[in-house]
Amino acid sequence: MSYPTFPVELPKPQRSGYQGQLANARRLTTFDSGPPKSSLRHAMVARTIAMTLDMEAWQVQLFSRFYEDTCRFGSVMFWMRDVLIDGAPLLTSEGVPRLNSAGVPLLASKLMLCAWGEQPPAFSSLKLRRERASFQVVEMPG
Amino acid sequence: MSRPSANYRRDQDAPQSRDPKVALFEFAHADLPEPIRLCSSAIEVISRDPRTYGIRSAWRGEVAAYQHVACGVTLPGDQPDAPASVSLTFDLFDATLPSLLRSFSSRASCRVALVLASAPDIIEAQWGPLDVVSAQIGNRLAISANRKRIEEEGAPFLRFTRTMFPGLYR
Repeated sequence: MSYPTFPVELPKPQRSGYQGQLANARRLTTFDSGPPKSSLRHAMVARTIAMTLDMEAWQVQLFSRFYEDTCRFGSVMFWMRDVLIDGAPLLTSEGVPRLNSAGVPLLASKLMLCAWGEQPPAFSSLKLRRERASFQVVEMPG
Repeated sequence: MSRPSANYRRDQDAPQSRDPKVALFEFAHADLPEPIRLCSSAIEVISRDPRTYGIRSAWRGEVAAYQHVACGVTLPGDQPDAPASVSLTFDLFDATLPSLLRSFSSRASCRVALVLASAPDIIEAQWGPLDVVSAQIGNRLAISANRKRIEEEGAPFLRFTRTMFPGLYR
């Protein structure tokens, strides 16, 4: 069994709706007075990322087909590139892009294994043939 | 039951406990080619594809992978009159699970151990072998294991240990 890959034809997520949050790995006990007590439960912690994609009509169809058919209505995990890291240049300690011997900048790459979030994707703000999909993915740790 | 290690007691008493405590379960049955090994916390990656989490421990002799499952765990308590018992509660997400649970007629055995995630080979506490005696099937599935039935009077008879006969050790 291998996981499908998020279609590369789909655009990057919008800057505005992007939000990432780690799941809670602790059990926190609070008291009427005094400091709380916490204990760590897990070492492998997932991260939930909310994103919105502005898509053309054909991209909406591609996205829907990926969600409904390839991922069986969100029940199959998939590989997706992490837009914050993937494709960013590696920097030296001076903050200058690190080049290889041919003068080409070295780029970082990161694929994350994702599960679909709690809510199915929502489509909104229809403009002519553009539509915006907002959804959550859960980045699996490790 | 032996005294837990100094690391365990220090972490247990700390206001900010940072070492996860993991309960390991081993279910064995004559029909199973390999025992089912489960644990209560996701500590490391067990397999990449499909992605599963759990912990590796040499509790039962050789290093084995214990897979993390999302379930509620009740570990044996330390009440003087009550025998050691443990229960696991799963969400019943699949209607085929009850028929699987009803498919065997002899009892499975269950061993439980408690370890720290940083030292999974050092056993802080362990119980068993317990008998898996019941599975309550509702919208949740509670599998509970208890001490061996002393009323059945098998031969050779059971050893008079604290987990088996807690009333002897008041």
